[in-house]
Amino acid sequence: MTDLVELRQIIKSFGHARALDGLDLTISAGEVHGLLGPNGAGKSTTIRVLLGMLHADSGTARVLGHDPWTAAPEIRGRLAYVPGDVSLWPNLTGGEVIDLLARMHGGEDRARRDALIERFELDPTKRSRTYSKGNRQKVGLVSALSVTAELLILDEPTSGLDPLMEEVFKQCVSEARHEGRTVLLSSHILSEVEQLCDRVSIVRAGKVVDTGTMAELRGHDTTVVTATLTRRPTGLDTLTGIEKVTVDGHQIELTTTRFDEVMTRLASFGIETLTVAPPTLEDLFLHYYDQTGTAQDRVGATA
Amino acid sequence: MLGLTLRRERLHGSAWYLLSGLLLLVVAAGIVSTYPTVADREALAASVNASAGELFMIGPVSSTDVGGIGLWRMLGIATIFISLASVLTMVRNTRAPEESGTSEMLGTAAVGRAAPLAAALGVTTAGSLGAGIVVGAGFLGIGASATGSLLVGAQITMFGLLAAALAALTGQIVQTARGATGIAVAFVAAFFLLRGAGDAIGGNAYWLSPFGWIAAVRPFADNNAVMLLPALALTIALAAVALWIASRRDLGAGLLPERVGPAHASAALRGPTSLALRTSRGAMIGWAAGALVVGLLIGGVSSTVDDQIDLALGSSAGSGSGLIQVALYLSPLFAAILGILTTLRLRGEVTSGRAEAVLSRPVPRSRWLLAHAITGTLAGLGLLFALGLGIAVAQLGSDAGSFGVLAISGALRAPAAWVFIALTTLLLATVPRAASAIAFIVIGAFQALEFAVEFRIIPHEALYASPFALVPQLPDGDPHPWQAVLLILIAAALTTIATRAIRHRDID
Repeated sequence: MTDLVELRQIIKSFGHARALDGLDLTISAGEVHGLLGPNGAGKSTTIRVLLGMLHADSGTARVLGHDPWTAAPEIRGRLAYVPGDVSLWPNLTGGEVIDLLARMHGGEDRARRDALIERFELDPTKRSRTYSKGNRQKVGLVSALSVTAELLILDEPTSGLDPLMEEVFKQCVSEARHEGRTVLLSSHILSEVEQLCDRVSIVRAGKVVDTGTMAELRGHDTTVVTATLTRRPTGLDTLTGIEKVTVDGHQIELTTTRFDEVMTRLASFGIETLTVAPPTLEDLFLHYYDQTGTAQDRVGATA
Repeated sequence: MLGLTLRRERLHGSAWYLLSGLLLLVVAAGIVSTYPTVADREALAASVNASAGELFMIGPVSSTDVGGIGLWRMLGIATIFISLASVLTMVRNTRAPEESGTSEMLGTAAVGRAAPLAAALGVTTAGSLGAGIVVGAGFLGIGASATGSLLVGAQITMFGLLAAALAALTGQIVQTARGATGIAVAFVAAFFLLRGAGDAIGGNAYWLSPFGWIAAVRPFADNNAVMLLPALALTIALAAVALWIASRRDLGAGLLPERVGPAHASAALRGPTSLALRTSRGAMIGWAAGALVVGLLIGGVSSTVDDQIDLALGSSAGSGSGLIQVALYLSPLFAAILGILTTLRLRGEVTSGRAEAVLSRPVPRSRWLLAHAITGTLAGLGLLFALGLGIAVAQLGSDAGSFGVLAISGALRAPAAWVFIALTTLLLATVPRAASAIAFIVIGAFQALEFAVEFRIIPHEALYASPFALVPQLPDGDPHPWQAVLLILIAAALTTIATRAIRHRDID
């Protein structure tokens, strides 16, 4: 597999604030790569470096085999981008914006455009100024998905979309993957990344702190199991790989990575209700926070 | 609500009003020191009142004492500056926050629907009063009579109040801040032009424009305070209608409904230049149409009055001081301002995030920058051509022979505007955040040069450092052929440097 995107030790500062602090990122051809991190972690700055809008202070960047800063127009013809907050020209209709951006990109595909407008239930005759945030986001998505591009860069693309449209979006990303396109999806919503991405890079304070499949990253942490049992549970603390057990009458809450043993044991007390919650983004981040141990920096960066 | 608006406006708003007031004082004091004796001033008054150009652009001299001359020189500019201060402050505090959504946050708090408008009216009233006090006190300071100075202050305040009420109404009717500002400014411009036409025609024609009503107070001559009442009545009526609409309409809505548009872009809309032209189209057509009307008006008025009187005012560098000549001389300044504003919209594209949509496509930055420079260039050219054409058409009856030369006389002056547009382009490519301020400071510096020449502080020849004096001064002045070519080359060079410089800058 070739690497479509390769960032090495990227540093970018705005005045005194260091937005990217030695960021490394590798995206292989054909994968859907998640960029996961809280607001202000440096996701959007990373993407703007990839697009050639910002010049990294130091480090090397290769996108589709070129330096995005010097070869920006060439590589941008081969990628499509949706920002997290799509702004449009207020006097143009959504349809006009989609056509205009497709023509700027090259390779306008009328049939594909119309199909996408239908799927996202967008009214292309309305002036952009009357669109809600979600509708503006749809215009951005239709623009990016309707042109031919090897690399799709999506920066928190579902903000403002309703759940139905989020589903449509997820289908579109899956289709793009099947067509062999590479996708970079930045998000702070864990479930979205988990459903869509082959690999995930976790960004904190301008650095990628870990990269891997979601399951690998998960492995670091534990899932919260809450259950109401028919009988009072006993002897659970003797099991290995189980932590933070709290028992309140017939209620039990614990965290674990060893599901087989825990479920067998719980079943023996009779399970009435059961919720299994994957670790939240917060839990994952807390994990990296503990691991690196530079508490002051981290707190400062996410405040 | 009033407290919040006052707090937000304490710097921005008060600066506009007070600086306008101070500027007017400087102009008034300048002319007074240039014509120190009664005899000087009587000579000036005689030639001004016989010149349609001066009557149109500035107005008549109604008193030859110190206050009267100062008032004469500043009244025309006063209408524009104070009105603009009010229009901008009003829209910034009513329609603009409503459009951006800030009002929504306040709307959920316990304030009435008309509260933002009422607060903005309060602030603009305070600002107008402030400007009036500054100017009135200043007139006392240069030795004008107390009654007259008081009435000058009242006039200044009245201009501010009228424009504020006007913008209050347009802000309630139109849904966008740009539209509200544009329509209000168009009315101010129309009032200014009609006042000019009224003064040039003479007699009771001053009733043509509310500015004429206010001017008819004629401090230092008639001291006719009653003439403030018609304008005051109009102001109250406009404000009342605006408040009435504000208390009844939905947040974000206007009186004019939103129309749907085409689902597909026309074939012409395909790149950064067509996009920039499309988004500035309305303003370009509006300004050109306005210039055409001004041209027709000036051409029409000028043929009825003998305007071949020579005044040594700075604004008439080398091309006579007839109405047509003065208007044509001033036209590239307005073209430059329009061109700069149009080109500066690139900055709005960046801050709004729309630039990202274009620059994430395979569009070189230099082309994107050039698209805005071209749009500014065409906007300036369109305005100048329309003005010249208007004058030429209106002069057909009296001077058909010079139709050709008159029709292009405006457009020939475009290189002066282009130099400023090219400079703005370079600023956008190198110091984007400061571009607007620097561009207008430079324009202001060249205006200061004109005033310095007019007040005889520096010799007349110094004007030839100004692009405005170097463009072809046809029909009557020097055609300046190589100077015009030089200006075009300077503009081209600045633009070329700009397209290279923008490659090295972050877009943020």
